[in-house]
Amino acid sequence: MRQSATVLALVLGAGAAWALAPGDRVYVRGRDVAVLQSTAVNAVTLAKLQPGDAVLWRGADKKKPTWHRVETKGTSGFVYFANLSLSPPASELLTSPGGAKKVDAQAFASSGAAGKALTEGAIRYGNQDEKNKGEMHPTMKEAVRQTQTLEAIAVQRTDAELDAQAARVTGGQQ
Amino acid sequence: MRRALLSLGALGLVACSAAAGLMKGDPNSIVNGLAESTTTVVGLTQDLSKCDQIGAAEVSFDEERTIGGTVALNWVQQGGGLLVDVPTGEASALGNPKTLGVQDTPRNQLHKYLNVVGRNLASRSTRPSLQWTFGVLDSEVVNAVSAPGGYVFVTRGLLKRVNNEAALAGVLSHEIAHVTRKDAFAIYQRTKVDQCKSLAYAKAGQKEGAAVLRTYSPGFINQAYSALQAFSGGALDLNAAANNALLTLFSDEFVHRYLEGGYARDQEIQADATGLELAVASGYSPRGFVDFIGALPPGQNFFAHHPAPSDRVASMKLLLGKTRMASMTSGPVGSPFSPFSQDMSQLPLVPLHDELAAAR
Repeated sequence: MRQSATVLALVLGAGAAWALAPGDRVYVRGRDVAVLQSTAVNAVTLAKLQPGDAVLWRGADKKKPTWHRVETKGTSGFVYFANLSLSPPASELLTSPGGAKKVDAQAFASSGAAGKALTEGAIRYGNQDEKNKGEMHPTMKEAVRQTQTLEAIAVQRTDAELDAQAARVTGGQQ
Repeated sequence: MRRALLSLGALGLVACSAAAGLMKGDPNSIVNGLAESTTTVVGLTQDLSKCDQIGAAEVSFDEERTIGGTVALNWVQQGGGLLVDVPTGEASALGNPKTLGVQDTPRNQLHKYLNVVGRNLASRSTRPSLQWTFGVLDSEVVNAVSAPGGYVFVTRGLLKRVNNEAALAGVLSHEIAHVTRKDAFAIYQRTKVDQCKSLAYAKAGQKEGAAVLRTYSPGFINQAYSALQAFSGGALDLNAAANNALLTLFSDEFVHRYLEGGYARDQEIQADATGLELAVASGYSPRGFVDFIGALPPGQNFFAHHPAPSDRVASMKLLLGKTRMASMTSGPVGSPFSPFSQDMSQLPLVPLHDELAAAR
């Protein structure tokens, strides 16, 4: 069991405590992480988990120790070890007219703040005359336009593209 | 306590100014000197106190994203620009990234690929929901750099040296780690306080403000000072138009300090460790990044401000050894898939790799 805990800890948190015991809480990282009924390639998917979901760790499978049994929301099944983390995603500090407050990763993801592109302040910074004097290539104004184009390319990547990428890198095993 | 100490210092300055006038024997200068100094010193004390308040506030996501945007613009501008093809047409369309029509050119395809690779990695980080953005700078220098809020850039020169996706994933993961670990915040927080105080000293006509006076126009300094005077506690909204001069003051100096010194050695080594972890968790062999760093010729200006490649490789190998990652390459994990036994030759080359290598 200790070796199984080590397998998880060594990849996911080299500096973290390795004394993971059955029943300990671990966290999901990655989108739409499948909880499988067994470790078989064609196993039934029991649930899909999202970044920050907490699960109870029950230990690694003896035959396929990179698959770990977890319990979540009344379901018990197997998750690929690399989708588990010893620590939850970071909380974020959001400001509002009522003051600043910390929100967990899931609340942050569903807030408008998460999808912010180049802010008005940053655009204003890049477009101000003082930043565009002299001979520069590109100018700061051009840098703004290029960065906005880049942000469009980034934000327009779809879940399907990311899923295909994850599957390609792992040979479809995650 | 800090405010009390500042007040005591201010009283001392007032006394000295009055004494100086008295020694000249000019009654007017005593009165005028006292009145001027009292106003200046009390005002300076209040301003310095505000600067401490601004520096003490935790950096919010909104502030991080705004300052990160300005830093990203500096990396783009100073890095020779991005290898993207900007759409022609209405400038306002650029403000709507979700609907902007982006041409399907080879350069834009390179960025599509880079953002799929990068976002897949970042989705497994401790900050999966940031608006992660990955770009290629048109520079021959071999380097990678990040900015707060989720911006990551690699240079054309770096991509030319990347022979497989595992190496690229390692580089991107290292920069993602700087953002998730908020490594820039230490420099930024110091910068904010120092620049704010330089501004206050500049307005008080004291030598500590000389750098600000040298760098910025009087009109700009007045704008920044107005913003400082209007600050009444709480979070400073750098995204507000009224605070644009302060944003400029902070951002410019942050960029200057980063370019002068970079991150601390320990931060770089930690980013290597976190980056390796992230690459492995995403399915990449750790060897991709280790081999890439190890292959950089010694003594050249690759990855400016980073520890020497040999030191980085040694630290990563130590980490791999400690965590027994290396021993897993023999396949005891019994899985049909293991990042430790990954055949990196099967991973794709970066799009345009040959074209980038041939360019210039």
